[in-house]
Amino acid sequence: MVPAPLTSIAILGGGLAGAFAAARLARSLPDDMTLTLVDVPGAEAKDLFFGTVTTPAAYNVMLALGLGEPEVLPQTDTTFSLGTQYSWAGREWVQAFHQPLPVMAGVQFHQYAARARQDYADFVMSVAAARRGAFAHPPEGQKTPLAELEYGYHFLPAQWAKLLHDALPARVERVAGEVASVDTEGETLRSVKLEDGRTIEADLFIDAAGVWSAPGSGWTGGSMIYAEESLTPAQGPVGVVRTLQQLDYGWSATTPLRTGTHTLTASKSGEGLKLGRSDRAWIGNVLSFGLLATGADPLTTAPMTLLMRNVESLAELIPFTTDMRVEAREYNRRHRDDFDHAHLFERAFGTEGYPDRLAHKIEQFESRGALVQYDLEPFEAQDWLLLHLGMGRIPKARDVLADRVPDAQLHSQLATMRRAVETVAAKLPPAKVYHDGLLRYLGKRNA
Amino acid sequence: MGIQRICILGGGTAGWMTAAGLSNKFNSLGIDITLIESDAIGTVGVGEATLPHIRMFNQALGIDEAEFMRATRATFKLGIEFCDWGRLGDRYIHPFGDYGAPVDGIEFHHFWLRLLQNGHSAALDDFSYPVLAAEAGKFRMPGPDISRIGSNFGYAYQFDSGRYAKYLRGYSEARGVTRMEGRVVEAAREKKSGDIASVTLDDGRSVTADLFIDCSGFRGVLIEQELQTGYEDWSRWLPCDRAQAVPCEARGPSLPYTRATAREAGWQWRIPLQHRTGNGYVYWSEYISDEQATEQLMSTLEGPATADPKQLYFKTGKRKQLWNRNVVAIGLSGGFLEPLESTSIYLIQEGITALIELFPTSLDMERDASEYNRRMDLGFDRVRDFLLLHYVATQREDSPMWRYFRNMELPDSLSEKMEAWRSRGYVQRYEHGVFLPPSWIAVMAGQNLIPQGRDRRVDARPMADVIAMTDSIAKQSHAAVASTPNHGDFLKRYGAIDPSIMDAAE
Repeated sequence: MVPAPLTSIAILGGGLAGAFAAARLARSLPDDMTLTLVDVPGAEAKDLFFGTVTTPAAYNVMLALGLGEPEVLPQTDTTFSLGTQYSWAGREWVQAFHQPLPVMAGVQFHQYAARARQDYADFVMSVAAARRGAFAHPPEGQKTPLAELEYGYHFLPAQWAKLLHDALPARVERVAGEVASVDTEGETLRSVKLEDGRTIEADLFIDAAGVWSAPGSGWTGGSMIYAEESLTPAQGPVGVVRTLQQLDYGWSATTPLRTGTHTLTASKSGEGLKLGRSDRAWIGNVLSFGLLATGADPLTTAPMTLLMRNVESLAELIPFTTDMRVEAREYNRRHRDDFDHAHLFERAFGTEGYPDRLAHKIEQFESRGALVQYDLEPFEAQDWLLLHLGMGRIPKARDVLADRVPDAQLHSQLATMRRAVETVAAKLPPAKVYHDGLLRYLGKRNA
Repeated sequence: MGIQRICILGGGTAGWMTAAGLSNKFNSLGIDITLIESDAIGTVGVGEATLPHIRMFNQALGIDEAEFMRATRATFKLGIEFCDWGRLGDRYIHPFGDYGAPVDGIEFHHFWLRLLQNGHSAALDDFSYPVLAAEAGKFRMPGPDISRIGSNFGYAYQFDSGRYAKYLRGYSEARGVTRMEGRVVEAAREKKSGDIASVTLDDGRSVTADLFIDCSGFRGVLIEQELQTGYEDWSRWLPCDRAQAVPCEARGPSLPYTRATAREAGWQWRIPLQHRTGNGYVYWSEYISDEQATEQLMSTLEGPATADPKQLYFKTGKRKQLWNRNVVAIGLSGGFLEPLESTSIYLIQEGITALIELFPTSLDMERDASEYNRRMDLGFDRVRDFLLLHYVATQREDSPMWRYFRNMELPDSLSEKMEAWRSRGYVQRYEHGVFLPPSWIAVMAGQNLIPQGRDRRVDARPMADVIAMTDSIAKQSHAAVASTPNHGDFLKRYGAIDPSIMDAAE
């Protein structure tokens, strides 16, 4: 029997994950497919666990949804982010966003910095700008260290969810209501009945509200995280990084937004989320999506990065027919790999009890500064480098080939590079001045 | 204290590539490199066809391309032609390059699938400049703008690996590598660590070193005979266990591609060089005798043989640890995968590159070895799956060998890949490994695995747009080929032809 073609998708959930999935699918599906977004009240309650920082990848993701900076910046409190300033494990560092590792004469640059006993971070443009609280857009195609500036955003999940909702194309049918019951058969969710009596049927359900999942999905992880958030009005933005401080139990992060300062404290009380990931997020015709399938700690940018990756996996794997076993298997593989790789990064904020694959990475770094990367990791080589150095992991030895450059040449070259970065950083405007100016410009242009 | 002395055992392609790679990097650091080889031991010319990665290797050595091509009598290579693999009579070219270019992040082949699945006739080859150029016997370098059709491809060489080894010997000796003539008869171990301390030659001389590179071929003089590292046998999946190789006189213009023709009990290669054509038959001895293999090989040569066929025996697989103690196995001593996709020299190169990147910082090299082995194991595994794909993505069942593959239980990693392709044209990506999605697409589509579905996002566009877009790419590809010179002319103009061959021809 030939399986029936897939003609309808329903997204359950009103939070950021549901909004992202709806926005992406609305632009990806052929016209003859129907797309329904069911706003389930309360689905956004846990959205604070997406954290307040996105990586640079968000720029393209939002742009593809028709939401460029001229839309996002004026309509929300979003500000530019150069990363997170951690006070962690008794140490302080700026965790800037990944830039491809520079290579000189076949050797990664940090090996030369190690040889000259200099701080690698001093050569990273984003770190230099972050230390001064300064920002400007990196110019395209120009040969200046500023072109290497990598930035993401500070944002509020609720605001972005609203922005995405408001921008949804008319093709998305929108419904709101509590779920009263579900009609299931085996691994198939036939329909969802709302309290007002309406019934939502679909060939595929994207469940970002925890409505239903077939038994046997399995879960890896298990501990809970609890967090509270607050927003203090301020004449912001007063910085260009999130600052995150370790507490006796948990941590507290302060994020500079356009009209205020956001504080997220992960400690012993507040909203709770189960950390870890579903082993099989997609079973039958239900894809469990968002924080309930992918519970990453907002200590790092992992929650947003994983959301964007999962949206991408979904878009690439929109089923062709109602037989979606291949799609589910592949989605689940990618989902597991992405989460597990991101989880290694989070575990690297610890000082012991490393899982094997992380232990190998740390051992290789500590023995010789080698950066081991597994396939398609969400956190890339320089992310790892900054984290290792931030955590005070010092390689015992360095690449033998770094010794090929004569001492004097190396020192003068490093001095030149460091000066170039410092000179540019010194000329950058404070983040607030730049941001205000940009908004005034956008305001005039829109008027 | 770090490594002071390196000893390379064996001087074939693997040995001299290693010597060249290491001397280029470590000569100025005062590290002493000795290579031991014996003229009495024949070297196996492991595949004379290469992958585009070889260019990076040569560039890192600072080698002049035309000079190297003259010295090795090399031709350019745009891909591999596979004959009789899907069904008898089929043929396709696996090119070094993409089909079309992604549109809004959607891989191009999904647009092709939409055409196909809606009853339009469309050949995937029309969207590949390297395939069309190869078919026409043409060649030129890719341009600098890789977003242009006609520039988003790579190329490799087909060369005489014996001459390549000789060329690199000159290079290495000029950079301080000491060559010793002789045969290793004994190895001495460090008492405490059990590492190799020195090797003794048949004339009684001995060589002491901190690090030994075993390029001694199938025998694995140090890695196996001395250290007994063990071998992972992959003949369950790749059961061909013998080969015969023979050069013959070339007929017709030299083609910018290698050919691999499937046979009843194996496959046959054809590699066009400047001065001759290399041929070989890789087979499974269970289903064909050596005599029959010789007969088949010799009867299918395009010109008179210029030497007697050389018989080779092997077992596919790899050493359990490619780096064990202070011995690194590079080349056949490390493992063997049949040269169906020209991976032999590539795997040598990967071994050298990883060794340079993980070059021991002290005599305690256990950690360096563990990362080296992890990386290389992954590389070998992924090549194995890709090779196996050729045997199992087929409709042939005309001989016992093909029926064996039909009934084979595949590694999960491979069967999932094939199923994802068949169901929706989806190709699993990975970051570390030689064969990228376009290669998988080439082989699966070329061997008649045509997906039932496609990426649904392509359906969000009007059909007329898809037709116009694909037409335009096909036209650009053909136009780019029309203005491409003949391969032979290009070789001449580029100064790549060995003058002695030019003289002979005139």
